[in-house]
Amino acid sequence: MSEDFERLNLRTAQQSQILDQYRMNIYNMELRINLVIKMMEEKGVFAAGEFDKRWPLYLSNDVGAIGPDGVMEGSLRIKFYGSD
Amino acid sequence: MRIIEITKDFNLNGVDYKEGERRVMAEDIEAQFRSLHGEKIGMSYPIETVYRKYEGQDLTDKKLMIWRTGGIGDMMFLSPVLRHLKKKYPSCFLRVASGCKQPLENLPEINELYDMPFDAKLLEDVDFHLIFQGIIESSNEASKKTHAVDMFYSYFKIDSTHLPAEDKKPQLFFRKEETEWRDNALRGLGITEEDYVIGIQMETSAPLRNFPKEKLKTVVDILAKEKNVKITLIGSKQQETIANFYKGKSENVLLATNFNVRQSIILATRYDIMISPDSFMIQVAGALDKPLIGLYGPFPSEVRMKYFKNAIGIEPSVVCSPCFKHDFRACIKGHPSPCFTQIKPEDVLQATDYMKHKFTGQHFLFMDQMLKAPDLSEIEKYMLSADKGVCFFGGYYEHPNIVRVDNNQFVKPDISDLNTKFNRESYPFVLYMGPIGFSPKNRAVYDGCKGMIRPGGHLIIHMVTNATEQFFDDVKKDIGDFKFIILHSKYEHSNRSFTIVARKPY
Repeated sequence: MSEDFERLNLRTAQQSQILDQYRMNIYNMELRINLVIKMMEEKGVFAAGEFDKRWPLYLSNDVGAIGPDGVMEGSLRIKFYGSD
Repeated sequence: MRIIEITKDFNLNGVDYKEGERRVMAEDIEAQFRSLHGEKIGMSYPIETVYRKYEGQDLTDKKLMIWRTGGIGDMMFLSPVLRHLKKKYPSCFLRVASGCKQPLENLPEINELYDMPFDAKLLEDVDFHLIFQGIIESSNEASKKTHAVDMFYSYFKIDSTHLPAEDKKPQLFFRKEETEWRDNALRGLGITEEDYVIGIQMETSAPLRNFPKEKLKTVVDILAKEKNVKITLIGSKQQETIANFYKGKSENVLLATNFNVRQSIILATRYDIMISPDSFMIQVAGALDKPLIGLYGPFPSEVRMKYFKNAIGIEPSVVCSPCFKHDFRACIKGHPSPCFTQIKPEDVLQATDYMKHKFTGQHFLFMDQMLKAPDLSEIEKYMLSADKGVCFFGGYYEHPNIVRVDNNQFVKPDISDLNTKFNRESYPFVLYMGPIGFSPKNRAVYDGCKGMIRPGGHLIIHMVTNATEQFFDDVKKDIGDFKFIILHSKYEHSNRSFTIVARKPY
């Protein structure tokens, strides 16, 4: 079993957590940049105060959907196709 | 798409390229050719110089050449359109070239089938050309709502709105020698006629669309314990390592990683059911009318499976899905794609069992056990020692009183760990969220309540003390609203406690 794990390049829980944190940080940064770009496109200028106002809303619409455990908020859809 | 001139003979991937030939290929393939055999390749020029685009013209007694570089599943979407063209213009001549031509082999409507990159001479004696590159990858608004086959139809300027589903389903044809090969290969794999064969495609070409490995492992492990069941793991030679991981020590799990695409398609004719993420095996199983479970994340199942006869699409409903990303990379939000957190192994197992029961009238053993009515004395015992033997599947349920147990065997192979982790004083009862969706409308109602849903889908709610009778009725009603069948409910006036045992109908 341990060989399998090595071959699959599985990481320890701690390493995964650090990596996940990096990933989230990068993603968070990308989101921030996206919002800045969006605001600049809308207004032509960037206002820090307004960014602070809009950021929580922007965040809750996107990255907020993933909990700290990596589970994404939502539900499941099961669709039947064909004779049913 | 470009035409390149070969200036010196060379061989690449087993194909001979002769001096003086002109070959048609996509820009990225040209770049690869130049990096490997740059000195043997001369000028190249864009296809537009010779391109006579087909735009829905009458094809009576005409010749049409169609080509595309890759995408095995995408080639499957082409077959209904070609069938339609041949039916409408029986005298037309269809020439097709593709980097993944295997699904189109033996199709009666195709007159000539070539590999990519093909000889540019083939373009000369035809009346019309059509490159169908980038149709479903375009990610425009239409592609988000329209089935891929309808997208292909519209690319050929055919209105498919009123065509029956049968005309939009891919077809596959096999030669006699291919079926003979299949019988031999099945014997080689150790599959007998009595076996119920489950085909599982392990991975897609894009990590973004891959179902999480640890969840698939759970599905494989549970199905592998069934009697007379053989699981065939479909993938390429490169996926052998992960296939061996899924297989573990189980003899019922077979590796089908040594077969080429055509052979994998031929073998699929024997499978009783197919489980696959969003990839070509979905289209193969759909074309063969096989029961099919599709695991979708970035795309809605509807745009890929709508016209199939016996298919179930399992997909998440989360804020960013469907994202319609075609990237050959991982999801920006993490890998595996977090939208898949909504699909649990038990959802896949339950869907698989649903299909098996529908076509054979029999459940899997795991489901038989789950469907058994609970022995109430057993449950009482279980509730009093809920710290023991908790859960078989992982589950999620958000409530402060509920202990969330993730018993993912991949991460925690030893369930006995749970004995030390959960002691009775702290957690008299553990709620197990099984393959049933239960989400109380009014979560506040459950404050102070300790509940458990045990494997098998039995919901047990037990209020230790201080529960009013009204509260007892509220909980019962709430459970009833979720279409649970209440098997047992008891209110103790002496200590104001209650117990409810319910089951989700299957």
